[in-house]
Amino acid sequence: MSSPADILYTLLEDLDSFQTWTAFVSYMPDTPDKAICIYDTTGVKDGRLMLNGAVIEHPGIQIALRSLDYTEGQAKMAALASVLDGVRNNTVAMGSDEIYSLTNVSRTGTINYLGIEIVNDRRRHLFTVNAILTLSQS
Amino acid sequence: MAQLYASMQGGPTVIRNMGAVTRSMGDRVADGLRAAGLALQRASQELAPVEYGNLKASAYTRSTGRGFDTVVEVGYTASYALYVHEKVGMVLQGQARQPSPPHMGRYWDPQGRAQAKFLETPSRTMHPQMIAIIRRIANIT
Repeated sequence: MSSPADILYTLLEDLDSFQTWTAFVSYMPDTPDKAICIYDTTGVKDGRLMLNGAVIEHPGIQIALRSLDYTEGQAKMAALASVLDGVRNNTVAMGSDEIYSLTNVSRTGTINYLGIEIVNDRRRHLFTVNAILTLSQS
Repeated sequence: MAQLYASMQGGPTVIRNMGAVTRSMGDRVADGLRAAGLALQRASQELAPVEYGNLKASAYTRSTGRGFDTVVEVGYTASYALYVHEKVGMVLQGQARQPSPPHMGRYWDPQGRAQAKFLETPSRTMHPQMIAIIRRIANIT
């Protein structure tokens, strides 16, 4: 069973959404400056189906992005948010025997600008966007 | 031809009382919302990282509007609250805060229970409890 962040990473890679940016899952190293990371976060537990007791959960994710250039970072995050908004019944293969259906990605808010992170005199702008997934294994 | 005459007395009183009940219910719901907000604030403060306590102390629960139109907002006023809240990587967790002095303790302390999403997490996990608080105070069965 892959993590929701891993699954979303694979989908975004399949859609060539990262382009020249370096993307990670769950851990963002100090380099490079121009980087994206997808984290697993708190999701929503909706309850159980009366029919079979299955627990319905919507896992949460966060996409974090850093960039030396504010405008470039903001534009890239806006583009990624737009890709998230367009997800609809996408199939993601995490291996030959692990197929997922990503029904929907629902952003829980707008793009957050977190300010500047200074590492070794490099001033990097940070952006995040949060979302809830509707995900099932085929 | 038979005719039946009837008159009703006390109509305005009944309507006025119904209005009173509705207002009372709205006020109780508002009380419940405020209590649920305070419970969320308390749970959130348990998860907020503490160094000097500025972030934790900046938590607030504010209500606007009246009755059924009450809106309760829970948040933090510290300027860096959003940054800390969204820093889900927590890569420095457990390491000593630098430079020391002036900084003290370890990142994401106290006792390693602090975390990013310190407001969003309880707002999701405490949802049933908050509903129960509102129902109890509003006396909704």
